[in-house]
Amino acid sequence: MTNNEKLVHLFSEALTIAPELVVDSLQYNTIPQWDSTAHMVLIAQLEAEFEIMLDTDDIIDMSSVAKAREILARYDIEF
Amino acid sequence: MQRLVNKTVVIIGASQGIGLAMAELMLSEGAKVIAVARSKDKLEQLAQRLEKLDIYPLDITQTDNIKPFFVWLQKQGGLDVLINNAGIMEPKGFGFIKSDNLQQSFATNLFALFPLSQFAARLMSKKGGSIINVSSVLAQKATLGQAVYSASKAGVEALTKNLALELAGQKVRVNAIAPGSIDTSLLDNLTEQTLAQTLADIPMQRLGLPQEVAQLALFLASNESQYITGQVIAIDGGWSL
Repeated sequence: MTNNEKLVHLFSEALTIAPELVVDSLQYNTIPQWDSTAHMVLIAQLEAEFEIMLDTDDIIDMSSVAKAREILARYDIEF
Repeated sequence: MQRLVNKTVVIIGASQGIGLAMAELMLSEGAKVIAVARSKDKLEQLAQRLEKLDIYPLDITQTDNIKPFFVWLQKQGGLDVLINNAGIMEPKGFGFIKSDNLQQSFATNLFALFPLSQFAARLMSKKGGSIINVSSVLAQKATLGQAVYSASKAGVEALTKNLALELAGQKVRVNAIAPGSIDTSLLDNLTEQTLAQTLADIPMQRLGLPQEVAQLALFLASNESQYITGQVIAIDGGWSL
């Protein structure tokens, strides 16, 4: 599985949405499933999968799928 | 039967008193115990005595050092139980409290629990876990000279309940222990008169033992308490009655 596939899978699992809905433009708090609780589940899953610990500022900034990819790249996760 | 086999327990403030008793008990119950404290020397002495103990020197008031600890912990395989036991008690009359006293006490007793719990909750969220905050009966009981300590511990109890609510969906339980007068070095700061008065006020007429508090922490750490969250449990010989 590529890192991009992992990202889509983790978003889909944490937000309990279909993988097809995990697109770059998907934003935090624009669907009921991506609320603050699901956000923390997502963060925990990303950290576990990619073996990183995110800074609090990055957790707050992770406001879309595109932004998530951008932030993870700063932790040497290649897409 | 050992109750904490295959569990990783982190005890913040483990070098003496209640934290040390918890470390000893949880090791005997099969846990992998990581003792965290400010003093590297004290931890190393402890590790010599307790063979299987892992140690990590950390000043929790230096919040920049907290993330590297959890990165290290993640590489160790994760976390099941976090015990926030570090605490400072410096009795002072209300008119003698300086800004430094406030900053230092709140940084250790309350503020550090925020990043510690944030990182811990994320490490625990895959399989659940237990966060145990050590509060005090003084969070709910006014005593002379304890305004700072009491206010900081009241904050710990409020944080415990709010975190319990937020983390319940991730199967992370959050509870607090509120010890009364326990026979530890924390009581060294009390005057003889205050200590005598305290003893007189305790219905069971004795100080508690660190090992007794450790037994309560063991219960909250184990699966025996798996439906308990958001609670503050006093262990005080009836002092708060």
